[in-house]
Amino acid sequence: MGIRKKITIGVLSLAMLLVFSGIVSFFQLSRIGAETQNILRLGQRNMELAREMLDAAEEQNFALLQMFMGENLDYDTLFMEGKERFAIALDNARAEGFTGLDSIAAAYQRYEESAKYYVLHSIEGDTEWFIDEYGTNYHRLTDAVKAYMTSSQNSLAPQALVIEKNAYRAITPSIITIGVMLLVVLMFLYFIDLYYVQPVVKINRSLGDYLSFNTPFNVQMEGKDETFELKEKIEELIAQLKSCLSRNTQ
Amino acid sequence: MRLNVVLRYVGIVMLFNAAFMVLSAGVSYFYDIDSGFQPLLLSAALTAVIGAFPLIFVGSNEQISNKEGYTIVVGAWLMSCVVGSFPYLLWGGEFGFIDAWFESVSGYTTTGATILNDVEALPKGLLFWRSLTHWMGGVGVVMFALVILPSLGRSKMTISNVELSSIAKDNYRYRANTIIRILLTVYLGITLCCTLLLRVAGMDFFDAINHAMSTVATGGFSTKNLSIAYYDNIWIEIVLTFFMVLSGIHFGLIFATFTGKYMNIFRSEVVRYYLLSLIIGCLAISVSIWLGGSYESFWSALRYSSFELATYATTTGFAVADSNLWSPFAITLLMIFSIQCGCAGSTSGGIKCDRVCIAAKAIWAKIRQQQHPNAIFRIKLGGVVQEKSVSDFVMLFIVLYLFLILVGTVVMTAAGLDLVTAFSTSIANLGNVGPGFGETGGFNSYANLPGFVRFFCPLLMLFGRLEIFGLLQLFLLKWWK
Repeated sequence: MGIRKKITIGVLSLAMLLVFSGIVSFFQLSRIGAETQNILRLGQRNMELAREMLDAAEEQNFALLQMFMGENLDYDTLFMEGKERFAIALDNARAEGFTGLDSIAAAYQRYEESAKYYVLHSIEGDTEWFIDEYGTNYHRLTDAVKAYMTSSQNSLAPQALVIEKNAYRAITPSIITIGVMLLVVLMFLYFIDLYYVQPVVKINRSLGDYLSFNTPFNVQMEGKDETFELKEKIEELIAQLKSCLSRNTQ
Repeated sequence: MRLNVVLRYVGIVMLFNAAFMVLSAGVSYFYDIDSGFQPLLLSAALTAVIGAFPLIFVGSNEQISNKEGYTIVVGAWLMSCVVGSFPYLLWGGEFGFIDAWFESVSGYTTTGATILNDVEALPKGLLFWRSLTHWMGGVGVVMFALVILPSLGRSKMTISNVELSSIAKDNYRYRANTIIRILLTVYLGITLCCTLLLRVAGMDFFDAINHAMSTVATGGFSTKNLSIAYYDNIWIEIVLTFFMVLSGIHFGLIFATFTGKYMNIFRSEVVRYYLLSLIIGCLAISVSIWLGGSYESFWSALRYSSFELATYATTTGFAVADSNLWSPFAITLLMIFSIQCGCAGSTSGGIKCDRVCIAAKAIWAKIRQQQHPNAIFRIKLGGVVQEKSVSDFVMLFIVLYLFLILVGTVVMTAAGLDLVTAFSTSIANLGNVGPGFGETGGFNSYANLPGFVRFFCPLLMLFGRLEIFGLLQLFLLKWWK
C-alpha cells in the first residue's frame, strides 16, 4: 500500500470517528433535550390542571355559599358550571396519565355528596351543618388538590436526578469515542513518525553526509512503500554517479 | 523493542474481540433486538477501528523477541479488558466507569465476581457477551489469534510460551501450532459437551450455553441472580461439578486420555493429588456442616459441599448455597482450596496443584538433605526430574503469591472492610475465584464495596491471571535489555 493510500485511510478513520462521535452526541443531546422538555411540560400541565380544579372548587363553594345565605338561587347555574369544570379537569388529568389523583377523587366525592345533600334538602341557614359537614369536606378537597400540587412539585426533584443521570449516560458514548480517537491519533502520529518522518530525516542526513564528507549513503528502512523506493533510487543514483566519475577519471 | 510490531499483534487480538462482540450482537438480534444490540454493535465498530488501524501501516513480522512477546500478551490482555467494558458502559444500567472496568476484567480473567445487583435485568446479548469474555479469557485472549496466524511462524512459540502458565508447558511434547490446536479442540469439545448435558439436565439452551462457557473457563458468571441455586436441580449441579473438576485438569492430559496416550489423566501424579485432595476436602466439609447442623441429612451436606468445593477449588465461583453460614472449619478449608486451585494447563487460577506438589517435594528433599548431607536428592514430578531452578521459581512464586494476598488484605482493610471479607476477597480476586466470604460471600455481589476496592480488585485479578510475573514485567520493561 502506498503512502497516499495509508495516510488517506488514517485520516478517514479519524474523520469517521469524529463524525461518529458528533452523531452520537447529537442524538443523545436531542434525546435529553426532548426528555427535559417533556418533564417540564408535564410539570406545567400538572399545575394548570390542579389550578383549574382549585378554581372550580372555589366557584362551587362561592355559589353554594350564596345559595346558603339565600341571596340568589341563580347561583345554582354557577355551581353546576363549577362542578362541570372540576369534573373535566379531573378527567383530563386522568386521561393524560397523571398519577396521585385518587385522594382528590375521594375528597371530591365526599364534597359532592355534601353539596347534593344541600341541594336536595335546601337547608338554608343551618350554620352547624355548613361548618361541620360541608366546610370540612370543602377544606378536605382543597387540601387534597394543594397536596397534589406539592407532591407534583416534589416529584420534579427525582426527575431532575434522572435528567442528570441521563446526561451522564448521554456523554458516555462521546467520551468513549473521543478516547478511542485519541488512541488512534497517537498511533497515527507514531506511525507517521516511524515510517515517513524518520526515514526522510535519515535519508536527508545520510545524503548530506555523503555530499559533505563523502561518507557512504547507508539508510536502514522497513516496508516497501514510496520512501523505500526513494532510498533505493538514491542508492542507484549514487552508484551511477560513482561509475560515471570513475569512467571520467579513466 | 519494536512498538509497531506489538501494536500490530495487539490489534489482531482486538479484531477478535470485535468479532466476538458482533457475535453477541447477533444473539441480541436473535432475541428481538434487545437493548444490548446497539451498545454491542457500537463497541464492535470502535474495537475494530482500534484493531485494524495498526494493520494499515505495519506489515507481518516473522521474528518476535521474548520481550515483545511479553508485551504483546500483557498489552492484549489489558486492551481486551478496556474494550470489553465498552458494551457495559454504552448500555448503562448499573454500570459506571469503575464498575464496567471491574465487570470486564472479572470476565476476561475468569474471576466471575460481579458488581451487579440484578443480573437478570441485563439483556440477553449482554449476558452472552459476559459469558464470552469468560470463554475468551479462559483459554487466553491471544490463543484465538495465534491459531489463525500462519504468518507468525516461529514467533508463535514465543507468544504461546508467555500466554501459557510457566509450568503448564511440561505436559506438552508438541510444536506450538499443535499445542494451540489441542488446547482449542479440547476447550471447544468440553464446552459443547457441557452445553448438551446442561440442556438435557433441564436448562434452556441460552442458559446452558452461557453456563457451559462459564464452567469450562472456570469463570462463574451466571445468567441468574441466585446463580445455580435458582434451578435447584441436582442433575444440573452434578453436570456442572463434573465439568468444573474436568476444567481444572491440564488440557493436554485430557487430550492424551481421549487419544489413548500413555501419559494420561489416570497416570498423572498431579491429577491424582488434585482429585484426592478434592475428595478428602469434600468429605471433611460435608461432615463438618452436617455435624454443625447446617443440613439435616449427610447427603444434603454432601450435595452442597461437593458443588461449593468444586466451585471454589477450580476458581469457578458459582453458588448453590450460602457458604457464609457454614462452620468456620468448612470456610477455612474452602479458603485453602481457593489458594491451591486446579492443575497447570487448565483454565483455573491460583497457585495450582503442580506447584503445591513441587513445593512439598522440595521441602521433603530439604529435610532429607539435612539428615543425609552427602546424598543427592532429586525432585521428580510425574517421573520427570525437576531442575533446581524450577523448584526455586515455584517457591518464589508461592511466597510472592501469599505476599500479594497479604498486601490485598491490608489495602482492603484500610478501605474499611472487615478482616474476613478483606482476606477472603483478596484470595478470591488473586486466585480468580470470584466469591469470597463475609460481604463478598454467598450470593452477595461486589456492588456494596467501596469504589476504591472495586478499582483495586481488578488489579489483583490481572496479577493472578498473568501469574504475577507477566504483569510485573510490564512495569519493568525499561530495564529489560
